[in-house]
Amino acid sequence: MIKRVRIRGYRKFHDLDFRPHPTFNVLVGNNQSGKSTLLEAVGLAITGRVNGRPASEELNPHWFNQNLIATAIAGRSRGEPVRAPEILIEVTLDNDSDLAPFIGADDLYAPTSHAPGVRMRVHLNEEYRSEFETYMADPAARLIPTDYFVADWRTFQGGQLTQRPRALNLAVIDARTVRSSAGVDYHLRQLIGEHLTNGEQVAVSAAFRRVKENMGAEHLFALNTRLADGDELLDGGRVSLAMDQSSRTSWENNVIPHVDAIPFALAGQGQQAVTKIVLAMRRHAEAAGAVMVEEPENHLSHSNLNVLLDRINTLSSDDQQVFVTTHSSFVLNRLGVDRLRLVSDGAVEAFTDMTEDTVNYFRKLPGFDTLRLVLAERLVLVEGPSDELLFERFYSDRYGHRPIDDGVDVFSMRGLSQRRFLELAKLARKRCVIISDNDGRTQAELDETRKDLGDLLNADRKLLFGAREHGRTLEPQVVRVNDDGALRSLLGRTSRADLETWMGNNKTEAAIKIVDSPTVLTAPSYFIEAMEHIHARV
Amino acid sequence: MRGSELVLAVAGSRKTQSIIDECVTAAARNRILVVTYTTVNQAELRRRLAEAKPAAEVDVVGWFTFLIDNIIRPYLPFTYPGQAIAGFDYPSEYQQGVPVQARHRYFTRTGLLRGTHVAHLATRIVSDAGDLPLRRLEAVYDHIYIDEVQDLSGYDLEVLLLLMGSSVPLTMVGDVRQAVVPTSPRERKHHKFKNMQIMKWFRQHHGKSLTITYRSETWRCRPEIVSFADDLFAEAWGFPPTVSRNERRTDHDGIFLIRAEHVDAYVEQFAPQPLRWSAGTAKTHGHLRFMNFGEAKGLTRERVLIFPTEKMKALLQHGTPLEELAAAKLYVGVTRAEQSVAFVLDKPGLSAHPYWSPSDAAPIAADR
Repeated sequence: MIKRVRIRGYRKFHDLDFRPHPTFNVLVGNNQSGKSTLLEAVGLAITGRVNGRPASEELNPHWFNQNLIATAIAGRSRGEPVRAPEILIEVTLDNDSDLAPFIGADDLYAPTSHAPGVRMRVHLNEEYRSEFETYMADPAARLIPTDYFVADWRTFQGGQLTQRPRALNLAVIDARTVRSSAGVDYHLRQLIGEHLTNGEQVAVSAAFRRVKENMGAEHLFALNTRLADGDELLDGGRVSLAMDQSSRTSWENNVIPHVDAIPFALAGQGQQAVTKIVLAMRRHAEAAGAVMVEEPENHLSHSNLNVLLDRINTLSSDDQQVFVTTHSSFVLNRLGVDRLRLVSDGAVEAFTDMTEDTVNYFRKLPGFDTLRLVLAERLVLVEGPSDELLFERFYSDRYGHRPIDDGVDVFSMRGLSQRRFLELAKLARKRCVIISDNDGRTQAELDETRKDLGDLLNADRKLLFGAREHGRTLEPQVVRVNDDGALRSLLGRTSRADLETWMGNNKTEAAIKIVDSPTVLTAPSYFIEAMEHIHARV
Repeated sequence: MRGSELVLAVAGSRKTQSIIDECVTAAARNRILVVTYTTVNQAELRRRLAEAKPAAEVDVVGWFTFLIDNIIRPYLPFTYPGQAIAGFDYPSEYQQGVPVQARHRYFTRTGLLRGTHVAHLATRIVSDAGDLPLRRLEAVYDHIYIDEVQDLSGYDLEVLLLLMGSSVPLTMVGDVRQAVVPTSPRERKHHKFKNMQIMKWFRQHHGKSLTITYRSETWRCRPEIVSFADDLFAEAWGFPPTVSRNERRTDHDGIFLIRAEHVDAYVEQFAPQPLRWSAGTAKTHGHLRFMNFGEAKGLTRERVLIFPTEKMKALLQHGTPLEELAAAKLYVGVTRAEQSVAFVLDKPGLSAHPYWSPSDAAPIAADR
């Protein structure tokens, strides 16, 4: 189990200190926020590989944090020497007795304690320091010459690693694609191997070798006899055929999982994703470890996604830590909003202190766009679609651009309670406002509603009601503050029609007419207050 | 069990074998660490353990490897954050006058770890890391054995003290009378406990965190040899008398003197192991396959032939006591032998040991 991930100087992550949840982590974030990079970095430290290939072979100038490089380059133009950048990925593991030999200082630069762990450090090979300095002194040099760097992979104890120790189990599952041409990628192959105990591995590989020998003895024999009759080679040697016995042709490379008797690579992409995830999570009992699943929502229909999420939930355990990246609120709500880890700007934030109650609430409301809420900068919650349309229009009239341009995201209630919305906003530390109908309640009742919400409301999180004397919902509120004639002509209503009743019965149509009209209406006062609150930069 | 144990055992008392026996009786999943200073002894331990096939997992390492792998590498960030270890500098210069805190006291410019200051660095790291290295040893090992413990000195003793404070059972085995390999000759720390004086250090800690026991039975040396070896040390040392369990008899047992002219005949007849102080001595017999006293440590031979130094001659001839290091070296020399020790000595002085000469079928009394 991974207790802590410390990343310095790797791609997005200038300096990250991430303490994952022991069993489940749902990583969300905008595109380019570093979700996949985070998983890649963990994989790099634990398996020593990237994309199935050893780190030393894959070293890339773009691995280095671009801010660090930019600072170094800026320094060079001021005449300072360019310091060699460094990448350090440290993964602290749980104190398991099998891992005791890996115990050492938990941080290469600022240790506070000790624990078992692994670290990948990409640094300048000192033997090439002068070459590096000469190269970087050239004002045209912008990329780090990675041929002068080494990838140094060690346990926290300090011992060098060349291959992943068996005690460390990590499966990275990219649900998106199968990469290798053979249809089975490195990780999948590794997973298959891990399903077998050592004894089984030995037995299978011995049997496979016998099959190959048989092939040679029984079927190639005749051919070889014939070849032997042919011309002799220059030095008198003869040509014969035999089975390739190199490790390239070991049994692992000659088996392919089948799903319902169809070769894995030919199975549907959804099936592939499910197969990989289930294989990874059902490894034999002693293989406690971590599983990383990237974007399980891809290629899956809604119902299949449901099945998959159920499998992930049941298979996850105290011994099996799971990391899932997703762009889907559905996935997030189903797996539990308390497991959400927000990745942004090279940092990871956890939503701790989420009540069990709230978690269950969102589980039952998987359609709610939790992710949108989490990813927005500022939030406005309105009663329904017509209020949403009107808020957008009033906001544009007032500030000259749409709310989203200011990072303000407007949500309709759609069954969400004000309390849950505020809880989420509080956890996500978002400035927000709820624009609510008074529904004809007395002032005492409105005060009571506010009081019930307690500290969920504060200077940052407001709940605003329409003025009681201006009607129960938004429509009468709009009628009260605008010129009757102008409104009637905008909505195309004659003087005989009761505006409030018509608008109340045709909320959306009325809203669309207002939004499409060149006429600028006055917003009700609680809308103005809401707009000012959400627009203010604090 | 709690507390550390020091077993001071005479030559030939099967010290190393006792460690192997304990490894063999340890439970299957136990992890045992056996540390010893000399590479010869490491190889010997590994070979004998491989034969004994203990169920427990046993690591045999040298003293430096022990310090580097268990203290320095894992915890170096606590003392020198970011410092990498490029390799090991050995033999390495003692860094006279370089401040204790300075990184270059412990590392060369190219990042090699200096062998001379490894133990000192280890003690600093343990202190900076708040004893975490001890917690690590407790997590990794079920028992630690240190063989030939008398070879340690200087800051090594500080490390021993730290180990005694950990809860991993620690068993140290050694013989201070064989303290002839000084580990860090120029180290000032604990200088007064150098070589045999380490005994005083052990005695200081006896009863507190350490229990000292003596094993005084030898299965190797004949009683005549044992008695000669015991007499090399003043009674003030307080070593209990050695008991010989070697009851084997040959036609040539005990301590003998031979004249230089008879050496070749003696070698011809008995094939003893010739021993000398150093390569610069006993040059008259350079054709023999000599070993130095220090090198012979740990070996068993049926017979040895010793070319004594001037001081050793004085001891034989007049009973003049040897200073400590010489006594220890001679002790190592004579206790290699199972059956006989012969000294090359032309003038017997007051010595009562019999002379051997080629005409003897059996030893005869020396003619004075």
